[in-house]
Amino acid sequence: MILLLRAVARLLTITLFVVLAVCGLAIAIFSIGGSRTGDFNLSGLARLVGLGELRSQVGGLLADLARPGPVAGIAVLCGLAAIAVGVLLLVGMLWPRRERLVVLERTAEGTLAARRRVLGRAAGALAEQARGITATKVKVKPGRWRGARLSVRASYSPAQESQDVRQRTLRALAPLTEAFGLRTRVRPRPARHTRKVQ
Amino acid sequence: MSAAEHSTSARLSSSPRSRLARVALQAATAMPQVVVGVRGPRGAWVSVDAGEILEGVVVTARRDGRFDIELHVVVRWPSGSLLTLADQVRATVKRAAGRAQLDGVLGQVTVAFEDVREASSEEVAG
Repeated sequence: MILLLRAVARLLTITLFVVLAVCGLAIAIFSIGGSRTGDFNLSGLARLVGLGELRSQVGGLLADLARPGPVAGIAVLCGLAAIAVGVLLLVGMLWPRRERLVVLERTAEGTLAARRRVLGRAAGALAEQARGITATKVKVKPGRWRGARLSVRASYSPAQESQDVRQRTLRALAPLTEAFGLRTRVRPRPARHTRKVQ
Repeated sequence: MSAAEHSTSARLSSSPRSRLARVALQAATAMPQVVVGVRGPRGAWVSVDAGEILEGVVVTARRDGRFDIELHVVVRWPSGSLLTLADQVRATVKRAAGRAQLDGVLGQVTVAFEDVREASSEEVAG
């Protein structure tokens, strides 16, 4: 959702800049013309884009808006919708991006940070030390503000209990997760092929 | 000295900041667990010392006259605890800065593990 809003906001920004540039260019060119007669001046530009007709049309609309009635109601709804769209676009522009570099620790000595892949390898190595685990798959999801969440899928041999495997995996991951305050989710599942020798 | 020579010597000159960058990067990459420094997106993590581009190190001046160092490195896997490795990198950098008489200007050392590289079988065995 945020990605979509960000993409729309960017597209809209580029479109508005292009429109603004074209308008500015047209005004600049017609200003340079500066002839008091003919169409090559700002009055000519206004005639060319039909500003007179637009004023009469908008004037009618504004007159309808000033009176109570269905047009005013629709205008209020359109105004509210425009505000909502504006707020959504602002959210899309200002919402912080998910940081791919996970900051693990900040001390007076300095900061320790790691990419998801490095953190995933470290977590996988620790989790595979737990008894009964045959394979692991670790996903690291960096937090928007700080830290990260580890999602560990632990395959275990059929002789093991799911709950025991979960506890053992959590204990094996503790040196990493407790040291850096990482949130962890372990999903044990029975292995189809027991490849690893315990 | 001609203008061209002056320009060249200015380009190749070292400052405490750039020397610290070199010392820190050399010390870190000399560790067996650290493979190489990473250039970063659009060369964001490079410094220049004596005309040479140092990839994977950024040195930032602080108000108190010291310099904070950011090291962006690839680590050799398996490398054990990330926390221990980061502490070892910091200690190594600190020692190297001391040997280069730059410990007085050394500030915080940030370590960012950007990627992992598999150790070869010889490296694991040896």
